[in-house]
Amino acid sequence: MAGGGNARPLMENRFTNRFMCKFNWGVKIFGEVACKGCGRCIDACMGNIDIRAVMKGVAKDVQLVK
Amino acid sequence: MENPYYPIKSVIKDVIEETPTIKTLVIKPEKPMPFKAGQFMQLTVPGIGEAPFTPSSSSSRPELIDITILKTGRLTNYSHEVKKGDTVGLRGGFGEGYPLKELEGKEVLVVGGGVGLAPLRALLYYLFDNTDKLKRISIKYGARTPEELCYRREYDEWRKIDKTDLTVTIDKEHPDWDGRVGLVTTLLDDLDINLGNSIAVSCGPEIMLKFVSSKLESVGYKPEQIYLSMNRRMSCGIGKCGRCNIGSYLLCVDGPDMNYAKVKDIPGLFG
Repeated sequence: MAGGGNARPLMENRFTNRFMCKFNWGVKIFGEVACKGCGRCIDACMGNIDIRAVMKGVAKDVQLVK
Repeated sequence: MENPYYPIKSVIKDVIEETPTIKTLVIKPEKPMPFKAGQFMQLTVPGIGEAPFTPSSSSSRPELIDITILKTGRLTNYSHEVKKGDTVGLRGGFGEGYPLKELEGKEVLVVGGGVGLAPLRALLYYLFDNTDKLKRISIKYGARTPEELCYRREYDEWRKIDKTDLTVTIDKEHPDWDGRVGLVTTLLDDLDINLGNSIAVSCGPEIMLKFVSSKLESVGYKPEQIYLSMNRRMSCGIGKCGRCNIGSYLLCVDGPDMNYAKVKDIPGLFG
């Protein structure tokens, strides 16, 4: 960004943004989930992050809160 | 349907040097491009790319558009090299712009920092045209050094306008400066504004917005009364790409001027 700003300086900001963008804000803005489920991100991820595992973890936490 | 990604061919009519690092391009688009104060446009520099800028000229004359650019990156470096007569592209205006309806009957506090005065200048011209509908226009502006004050040649004119006051500060002591010294937030300490009937609009670097918004809150503004120009690197301009999201808001559609109450609880708002 101009002036040396960084909208998401921390790794957790970027990580959150990825999942919130696909599964929460995407639904709010466009009315549908922004993930097609093709699985290519799982194959390509060098950090070995499985989007399904993350979402399962989130679902579990949500149930715990409920 | 007209292609929203298609830039309109425009000619540089003039290049004004504001400061050593800031230039204003006066651009004449092939056909008039109506815009509202605060709406942004995508400026195309041929062969380089495009980047969002908010016109700094009055929205009442859309046939000649001023775009003020701070030299800060790849495209802005190139846009500083364009000369009179060169061709560039423009598309826009995108976004909501400033909440002009809400400002009616209010005391408007305009807080600018550095090149952040550029989008605010479009707002100011609108306000100057409509002083009869407003109670007051109070402008607080800060820059790093006296040379970096944007639009310095116009300050005297602005001060003469009805109901308007302008206070300028620079960050550090400087031999050529006998005015106020200190960050722009220091100008907010002694406000003589009726806070209940006021709206604050601010634009500047993100770090400045952070301190201005918390300062305004501490002097008694409600978050709903604060508008921040969160101009980031908007890309498509029409809410498709998601490049400029702040939480679930897309700046290119909902902004770039966001109500502070809407965005204040989003983590990492100011980076």
